[in-house]
Amino acid sequence: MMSFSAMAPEIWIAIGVLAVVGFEALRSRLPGDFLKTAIPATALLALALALIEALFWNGASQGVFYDGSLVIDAFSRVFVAAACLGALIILFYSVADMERHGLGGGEYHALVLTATLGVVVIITAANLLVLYLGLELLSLSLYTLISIDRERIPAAEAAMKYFFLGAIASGVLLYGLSLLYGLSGTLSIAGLSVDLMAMGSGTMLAWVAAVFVLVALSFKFGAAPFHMWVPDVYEGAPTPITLFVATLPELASIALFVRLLSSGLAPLVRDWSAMLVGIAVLSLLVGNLGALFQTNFKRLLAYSAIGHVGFILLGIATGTLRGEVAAVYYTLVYVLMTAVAFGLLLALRARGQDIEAIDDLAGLGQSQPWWSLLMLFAMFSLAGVPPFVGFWAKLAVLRALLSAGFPPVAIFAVLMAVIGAFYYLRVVKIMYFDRTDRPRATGNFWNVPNLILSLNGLALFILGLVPSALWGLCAWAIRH
Amino acid sequence: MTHGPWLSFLIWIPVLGGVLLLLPGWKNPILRRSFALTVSLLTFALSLWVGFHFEDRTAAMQFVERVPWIPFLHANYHLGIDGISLPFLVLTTFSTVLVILAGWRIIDYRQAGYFAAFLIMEGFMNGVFSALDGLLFYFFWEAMLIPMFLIIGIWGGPRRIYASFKFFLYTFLGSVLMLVALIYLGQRVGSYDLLAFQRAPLGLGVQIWIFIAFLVAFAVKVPMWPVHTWLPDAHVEAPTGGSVILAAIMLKMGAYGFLRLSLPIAPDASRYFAGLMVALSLVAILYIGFVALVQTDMKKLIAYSSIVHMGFVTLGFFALYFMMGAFTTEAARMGVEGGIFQMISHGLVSAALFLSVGVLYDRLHSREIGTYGGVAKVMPAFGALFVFFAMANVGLPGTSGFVGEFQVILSTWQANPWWSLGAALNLIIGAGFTLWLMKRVVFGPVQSGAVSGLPGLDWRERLVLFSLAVPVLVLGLWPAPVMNVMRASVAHLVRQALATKIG
Repeated sequence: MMSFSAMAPEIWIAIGVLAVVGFEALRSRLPGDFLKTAIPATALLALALALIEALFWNGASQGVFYDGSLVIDAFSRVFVAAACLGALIILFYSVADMERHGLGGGEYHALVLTATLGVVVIITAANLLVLYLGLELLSLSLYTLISIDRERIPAAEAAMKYFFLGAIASGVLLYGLSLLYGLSGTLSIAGLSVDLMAMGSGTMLAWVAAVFVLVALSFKFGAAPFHMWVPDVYEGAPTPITLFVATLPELASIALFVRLLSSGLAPLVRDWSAMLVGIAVLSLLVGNLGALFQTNFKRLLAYSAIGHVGFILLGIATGTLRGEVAAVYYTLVYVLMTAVAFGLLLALRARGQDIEAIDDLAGLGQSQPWWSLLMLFAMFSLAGVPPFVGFWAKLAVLRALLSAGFPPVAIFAVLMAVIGAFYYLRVVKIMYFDRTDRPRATGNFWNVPNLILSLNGLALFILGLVPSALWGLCAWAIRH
Repeated sequence: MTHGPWLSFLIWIPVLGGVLLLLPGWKNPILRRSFALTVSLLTFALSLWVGFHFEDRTAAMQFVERVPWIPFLHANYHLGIDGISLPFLVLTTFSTVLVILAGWRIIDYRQAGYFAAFLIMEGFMNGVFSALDGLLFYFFWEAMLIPMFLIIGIWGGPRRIYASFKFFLYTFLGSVLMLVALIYLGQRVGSYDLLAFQRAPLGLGVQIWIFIAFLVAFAVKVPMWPVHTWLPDAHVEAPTGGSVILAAIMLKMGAYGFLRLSLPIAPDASRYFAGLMVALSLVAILYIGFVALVQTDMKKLIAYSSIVHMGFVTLGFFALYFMMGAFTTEAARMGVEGGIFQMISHGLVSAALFLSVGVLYDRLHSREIGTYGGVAKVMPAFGALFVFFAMANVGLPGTSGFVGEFQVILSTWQANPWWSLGAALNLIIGAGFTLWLMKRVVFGPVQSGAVSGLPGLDWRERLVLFSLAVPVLVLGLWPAPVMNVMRASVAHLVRQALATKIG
């Protein structure tokens, strides 16, 4: 039994995938109303069970399982739980919207589940091949999800772009991993770090391998100069899919960095730290300056994502545990904030307000007071202004930078944050300052997704008042 | 000394009141106004209660609350006040009551939100004045920008968007560098306790960097020349209430920051930069005085006059490093006390002036000096009050404006008579621009039909202006209550500022 329980979340999600696909295969024989309830219910149930399994992994089962394939430690517990919870929330926000566009069938649910499975596999991977497997599972699901609306030309374009660049990145990663395997003779991430340590850093081949790995991971995370796909995908994909692309893969990316770079390639820290600082600084520049000129709201959030990735990577680049904690904390906070922003776009769409350009938000403060207040929370939180939780994420990274001896980088980062504040303020301005005479929206408001969205928005404020909860959890996840 | 979370009440009662006002369902205007007023009055009463139970013979922190906040950072929810912060707490709660009264009928667009923003901001400002933890200080310091940004942007004048962005980004830019300095200090000291920061020995090189980071934050807020340009824009475009809080409280935060952080944490760097600080203060006093002289917009004129007065404050603080002769510490103390008193007085007087301009603006919707003339003939009571506040702004003996300026000039003499002379020149320039404003607006022939038809003050405007006139007069004749409260704390601060932390 022990052997199954170690991969219980994966198993539940896989069962969910099979069940959803099965329902879809029997579509012609089953009543439509039944399918309409059964498919989402199955997906939610599978994720909920996986979440419960992740939460109740007992401490005794820590360690490496299945011939060194999967590892269960504090990090995988926290992040598998976060991924399952995130996928649940995403489904809650998006299903109604997908159904309204006739896309809410089995394919969507199955792909969301396989992508989540990919994220979970990446998080628990103890072995280079398993890691790669998880990454490909995630990426292939994403390519398909982005183009799920076949009629939508921009989505198809974005998916193609993402696919070609992503395939190259995967190849680059695989090449880097094969070099590492050639160097050390092991596929185990922990063993890799031991072998590299024994060789001592500075061998040319190890450095080349680190460069390949770093480039591929930066691409997956959407860091500059490998960010080209991010704005197109964010803009081109249907909004529910953008919500997915902007949140869950970020958890996978940070897990890749934590597992592969901070653990596996830890002995080469001196080689990759400087490169990563460069990538992070460039991402801060590209993200924050690029966002200044956007008129499309999703594109704005895409550039903002690049800027935030810059902050996250700075935490990793310090090469310290403290920096790792900061990066992980920042990622969770970022996912929380982004989920609010895109969740609000979906909630507004449900009430007949399709937000494409930023200017479409005009007068929202009047017509949708509650949603615009939550959007204000999200914007100030993304800008890093207290009392919202985004401030603490930035503080964590700054603290790591200062203690690791990077004060100039810290100062550069805060100055970029000031530039970033400008475009977040612009969103607030359009919602509140531009007076329109839109009437206050009425109608049925309180349903389950909206309640979750409201709690999600309020969490930005509450976690800002009590930052130690989530931050402490991340510290526990990394240090144990 | 009393136990109990009184300072927490001062912070969170207004915040909670503001949040309640944001909830939907405040359809009845009388109900929401009364609710906002009740919350602000309750907070004001609490601050007075705290004031009456304040022990003024000690420089130690009082009403201390300390709860672990972020345990692994050693950051605490640590509050406490001394004689320097107490007057500002009372000023904050008092100003908020006035702002709510002043917005009673004038604000008709989203009134509940307007009151909510002021109440939430009041809570955060109280937090700044009572925070004893570096992170908590920064938390409140930044948080209060959000309501002010919204107040200027939603309820402001025609160029409100430009002004609100300039306000936010200027102050944000200043503050983030302070954040870096605070985190650095936190790493070095091992906790974020401001009092531990004050005790920690630091080399001159480190102190200089820290001082510069703080200076950027506080100089923008004060504001000091040459980073003052956001202020006239923000003041002009903000609604009356926003201008009042900006002038009365927010500007004081910068100077408060010098007292709470710069001088005690980096005393040697403060000494190092004191010459520069004095020079910037004198430029603000003299040059900005002339700038004020040529303004045609009443609010802009008062905004520039605020910069001049804050120049006195920083002059009083930083002249203490140049004291010579027999009474060095006495002169230094007098300069600091004068500076703080000037802050309190300016808080009252500038609030009153902005409210007076607001009274005129609400009637004719113009801030141009040229629109008015002969107001005293039509609105005699208002004219008298406006002139009274203008006199206080000039520093007429018998008003609160005199006390602080006189102390600063007197103590600066001990440092350098020429500086003192330069500062005293302002009494002439200041009288110039203020009295000329009075001549053109209040006196003279009635300018136009619009002015001749002006209705007199209603009871609410009377109440607001009179309740400001009383403290201005009382503190002018009898400054002892404020002086006594801050004496011990100022003496302690001067000792800290004159000590060295190198070594």
